[in-house]
Amino acid sequence: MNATISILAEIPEELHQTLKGYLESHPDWDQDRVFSAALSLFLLQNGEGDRRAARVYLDTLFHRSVG
Amino acid sequence: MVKLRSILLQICASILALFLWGGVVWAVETDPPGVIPQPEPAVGPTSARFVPGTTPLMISLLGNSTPLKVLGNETEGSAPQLTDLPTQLLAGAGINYREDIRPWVSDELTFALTAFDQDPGQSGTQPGYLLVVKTRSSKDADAFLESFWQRQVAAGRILRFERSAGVDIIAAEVSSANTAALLPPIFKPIEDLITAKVEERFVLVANQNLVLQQAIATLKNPTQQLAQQPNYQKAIATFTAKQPEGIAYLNLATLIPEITGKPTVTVPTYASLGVAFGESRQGLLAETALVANPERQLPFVAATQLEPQPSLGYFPSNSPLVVSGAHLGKLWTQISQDLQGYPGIQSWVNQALDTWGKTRGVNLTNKIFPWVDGGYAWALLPHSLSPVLSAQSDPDPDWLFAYEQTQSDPSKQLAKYLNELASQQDLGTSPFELAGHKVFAWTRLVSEKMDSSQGRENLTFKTKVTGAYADLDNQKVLASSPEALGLGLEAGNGALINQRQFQERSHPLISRIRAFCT
Repeated sequence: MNATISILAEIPEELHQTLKGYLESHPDWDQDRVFSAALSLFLLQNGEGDRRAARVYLDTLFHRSVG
Repeated sequence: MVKLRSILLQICASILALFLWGGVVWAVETDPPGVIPQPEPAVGPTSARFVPGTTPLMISLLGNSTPLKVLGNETEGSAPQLTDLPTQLLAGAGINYREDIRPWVSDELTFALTAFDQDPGQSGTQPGYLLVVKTRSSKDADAFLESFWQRQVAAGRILRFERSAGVDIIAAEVSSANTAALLPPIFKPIEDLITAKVEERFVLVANQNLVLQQAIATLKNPTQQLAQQPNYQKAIATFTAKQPEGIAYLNLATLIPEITGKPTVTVPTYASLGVAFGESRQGLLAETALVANPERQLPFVAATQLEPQPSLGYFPSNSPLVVSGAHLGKLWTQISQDLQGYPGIQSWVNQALDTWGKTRGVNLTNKIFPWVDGGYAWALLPHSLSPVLSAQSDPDPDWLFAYEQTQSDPSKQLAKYLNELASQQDLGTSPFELAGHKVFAWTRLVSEKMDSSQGRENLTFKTKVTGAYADLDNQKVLASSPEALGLGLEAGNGALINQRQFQERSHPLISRIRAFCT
C-alpha cells in the first residue's frame, strides 16, 4: 500500500461546486481520487515528467485506490 | 533476425500462385460502376470496425486459435509469417508482445497498416499502424492498459496524457534504434506508441495520434469502415470456413506498387485479395479470394475441372505450395497479360523464372509452358532433401513437377526437348528402381584428380545426380532430386489428392493455396 499524506488546501468555491457535481454524477470517483489525478496530471504536464507522478496518475486513471 | 522482406515476397508469390491456379472462375466480380453500395451488416471480425476502408493491409487473428495463442513465440531462424508482422514491429519499439499484450487478448486481434504515409506533411514517410486488441471485459482492458503503461514508466519512458471525445489517450515516445535496417522499406520503425480504450473491451494501440483518432472516427462512421467496403465483403463472403483462425485483406491496388516500388501503368485486373487461414494436419491452409477491378474485364479461361489433377497423386500432403491446373501454355499467356497491371510482380516473376531457367539451361516460358497442354501440377517440397542441394550454401528447396503426356504434337515436342536438353548439358540417363518403379536419374560424370604415393596424378570419377524423372501411366513426373521423386512415389494414401480436406475444398469458385509454413 502506498503511503498517503493529508493536505489542506483552499480552492475557489466555484471549483468546489463543479467538483461536487462531478462526484455526484460519477460514483466511481471520490474526492481523493480526483485530487490525486488532478495533481499528478498537472505535475506531468508542467513539471519534468516525474516517473512517480506518472505512476500515480495511471493508478488513479484505472481506478486503483490511492491509499 | 527475422526478415520481414520475405513476408512481402510471400504475398507476391501467393498472388502469382493464385494466377496459376486456374483463372476467372475463382475471381469475384464487383458491382458495376455507378452502383452505390448500401451499408450492410458488418462481416468478419468485430475489431475490423476500427479499420478505415482505405487500409492497404489488415490481418486479424480470431477465436481460440493456435495462431492467436502462439503469436509472439516465433523463434530465431524460423520462417517469418505474415502474422508475425505486428509483433516484429512492436519488438522494434522495445515492446514484448508475449509479455505486454498477449495475456490480455480475448478472441480477436487485428493489425492494420492504415496508410503508407499517414501524415504527408511531415518530412519522411510515416506509415500508420493500428493494433486492435479485444479483451475479455472492461476490467481486463483497464488492467491491460495499466500494466502496459506502468511497465513503460518503469522502463523510463515519459508518458503523455490526453482526453479526446470522451476517450483517455496515453502516449509515449519509444526508441527504435537499429531496427530500420531490419524492416522492408515500406515499414518504418515505430517512434510513438498511443493507446486508448474504446467500447469497454477494445484497446487500440497506434503509432500516431492521427491513426488513433482516425480509428475512433471510423468506428462512429460505419460507411468509412473497411468492414463495409464492397470488395472486403465480397472477399469475406466467399470463404467456406465457418470459423477461420485468421483473416487477411490486402488492397492490391495500393499495396503492390509500394512493395515493388513500381507504379501501375495499366489498371490491374484484381483490386484486392482476401485470405482466410486455419490449421490443418498438413499445416497452415489458406483459402483465398481475389476481387476483380470493375474497370477491367476478367480474362476468359476454360473452367478448371472439378476433380483434382491425377498428378497430385504423386505429391506429398505436406507440400507448402502446390499449384495445378490444365493448359499451362494458354494460362501463361493470359497471366503475362494480367501481370501488366502489376509491373513490380511482372518483373519479379520474369526475373525469377529467367534466373532459375538459366542456371539449369531450361527455357521455361518459351519451351516448357507452351507445350504442357494437358493437366499439370507443381509442388515445392518442405525441405532440401537432396544431399547435393543441401550442401549448397543457399540450398533451394526440392520440387516436383508432373504433367499429363498426351499424343499431341506439343506433348511430343516437350519430350523431345527434354531429351535434347539432357544431351546438351552432357547429362546421361541412368535407370534405377525406386519405390517399386523404374525411374531415371540425370547424371553427370565428374572427374577429380588424386595424388598417388608414386607421385603421379590419378583420376577418380564421381557421378553427380542433377535430377530424376519417371513415366507413370500417362504422367511424367520430374523432380529436382531422386530423394524428392522418392517422396512423391511413396506418397500413397498420404498424397495430396487423397486428403479429405483437399478434396472438399477443391472447388472451382474458390482458389486454394497453402500458405508458407515453418
